[in-house]
Amino acid sequence: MSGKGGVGKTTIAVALALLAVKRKRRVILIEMNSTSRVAPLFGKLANKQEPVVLAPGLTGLNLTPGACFEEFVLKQIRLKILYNTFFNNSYVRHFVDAIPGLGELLMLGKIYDIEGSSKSLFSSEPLYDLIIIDAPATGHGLSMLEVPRVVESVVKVGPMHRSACSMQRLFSDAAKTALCLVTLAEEMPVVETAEFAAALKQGAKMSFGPLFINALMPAIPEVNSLASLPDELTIYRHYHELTRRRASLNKQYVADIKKRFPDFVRIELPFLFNDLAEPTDFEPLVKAIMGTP
Amino acid sequence: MKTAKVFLVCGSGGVGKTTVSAALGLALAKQGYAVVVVTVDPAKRLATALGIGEIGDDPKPVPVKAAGSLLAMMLDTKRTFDRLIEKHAPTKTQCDRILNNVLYRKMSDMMAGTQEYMAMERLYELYAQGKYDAIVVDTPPMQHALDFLEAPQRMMRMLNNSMLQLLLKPAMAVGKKGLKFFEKGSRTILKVFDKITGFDFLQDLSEMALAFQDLLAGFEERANQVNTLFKNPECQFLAVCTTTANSVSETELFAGQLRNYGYALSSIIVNRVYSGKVPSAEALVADKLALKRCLGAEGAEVVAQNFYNYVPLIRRDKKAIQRMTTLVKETVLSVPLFEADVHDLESLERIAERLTALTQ
Repeated sequence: MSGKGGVGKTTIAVALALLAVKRKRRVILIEMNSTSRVAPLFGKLANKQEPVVLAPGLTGLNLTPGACFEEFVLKQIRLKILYNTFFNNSYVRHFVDAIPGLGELLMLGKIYDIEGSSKSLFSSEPLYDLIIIDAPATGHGLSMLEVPRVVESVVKVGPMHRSACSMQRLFSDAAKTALCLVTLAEEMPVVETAEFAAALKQGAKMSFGPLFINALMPAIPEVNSLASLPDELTIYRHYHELTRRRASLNKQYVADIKKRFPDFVRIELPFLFNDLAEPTDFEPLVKAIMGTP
Repeated sequence: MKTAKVFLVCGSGGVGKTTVSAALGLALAKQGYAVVVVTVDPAKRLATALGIGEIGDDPKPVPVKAAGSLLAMMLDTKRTFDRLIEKHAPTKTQCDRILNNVLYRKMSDMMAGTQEYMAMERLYELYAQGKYDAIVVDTPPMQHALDFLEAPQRMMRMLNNSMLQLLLKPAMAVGKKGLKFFEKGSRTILKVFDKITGFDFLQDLSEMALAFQDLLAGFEERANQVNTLFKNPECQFLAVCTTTANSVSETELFAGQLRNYGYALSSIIVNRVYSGKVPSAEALVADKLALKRCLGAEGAEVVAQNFYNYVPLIRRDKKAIQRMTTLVKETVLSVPLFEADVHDLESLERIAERLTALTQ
């Protein structure tokens, strides 16, 4: 999932996860290098780098470049004490910073590993049916999704090259990976989403999943003689007009989105007037997604 | 030579930071200032907000009716970085060595903190030109706001990293033979990095890092100048946020982190506020009757129900604004939610009106 900042990527990622769980899928929802917002919704503490069971069938994970690096190194040297002696210091941390793209590559690599892991040693059944990634906002998201491709071209040989290649293969495999964009039906998010989609088609060559159009205002009927309301009732008129105008603009931009993204499955989601504090608050969104053919 | 007021506009993605920056620029221009607004956003949003076409690395005038003038520009990280290197490289050869390095060419903007550092660099360039009364900087999103403050130091630490030197100099000079001079620990580290990256990559990286060595003194001097500028009372930190629980807590976190760095948050601009006063329970009943009298039963139902939907949001926003007032040294301004997002000069003016308190 990606999109402009503030359009509701995390919210929709959660709604999608809840829907998949309802359909008996085993789901992992991954946040990237963020203050974890998902775990608290389920009354759980966010745990860095450790998967947390949020609900039956739903696992949450918050990735950071630092923790991914530690995990990677530990896999190579297998000795925690050695890691603590030589790697767990600021020199090494700055060194990781110094290698361009390494942080992104390590996080994507971790996701690659999760995709390839199976339920148990004796089973080929995958550990998860669905991996939902709450990716960074478009500006930063673009460069993150570009990392495997750029690394592939800059680093010609060696393990970093090999892993970049296999990641690029997974992420550009239309049967396995879909990039789901989230937007609002407003000028700036629509323009930015279109630019982002165009850039990705050129660059990272990912295939697109559905396009989520979030926070659509409900259509309410026009009411005559609103102007005649006395001053003390102005606030009623103000909010009536606000809803009407926003709904009509939304409608206009939904039509615009249809024109700009003709091949996309578009999923329209309602504006919610309450804060989303717990899983049941997501029900209207889950329903709206289910209701889209 | 003018000494500019500097406004650093911070906030997480999607709160309307770019729009507020543009509106602040407009408000300042209306006060008669010569203003330049710099955005570092990779998406071309400032141009959209200003209702002009493409904008680039050079300040471009925005056609506004104002006593002063308004220019807008978008940070070009790569070009700024190139200029920085051209300025500080001791020789032409050294300069070309960096500019032609394959890693520098393709990946320097992926290096942690590059964008933030170049934003500082560009800000300082504009400041030093002395052509402007005010510079408004639309900083990278909040999650990276501290990178913004730390950027110069961080980049220097990285390039001047003793581990990097230890690992890379021999790697570059004598290839793998150099390994035998390594202590056991370093060898382990190099082995792991080698596993991750591949030897050629380390070599490219070492070449780039070594080429940067002679530039460090220049970088350091600039970092100090930027720090001095930040401590200057003419330099103000502003935060933009919305009233969602998430945005409020992020802003609190940011104010705290800023304090730890010895800076104070001057003002907070709370964007997209559901404003108004919620009537008491009795008044709500009386209002409903009055609505019925004016609009008829059906109309009153629609209008009242719609308003009740907003009541929790209006209450939430009032609380959010109260919480914000404890975080700032100057003022908390609120910008009401308009029916559409702001992407033309006309609607920008409506926001600018709300920000005049910041231009005094």
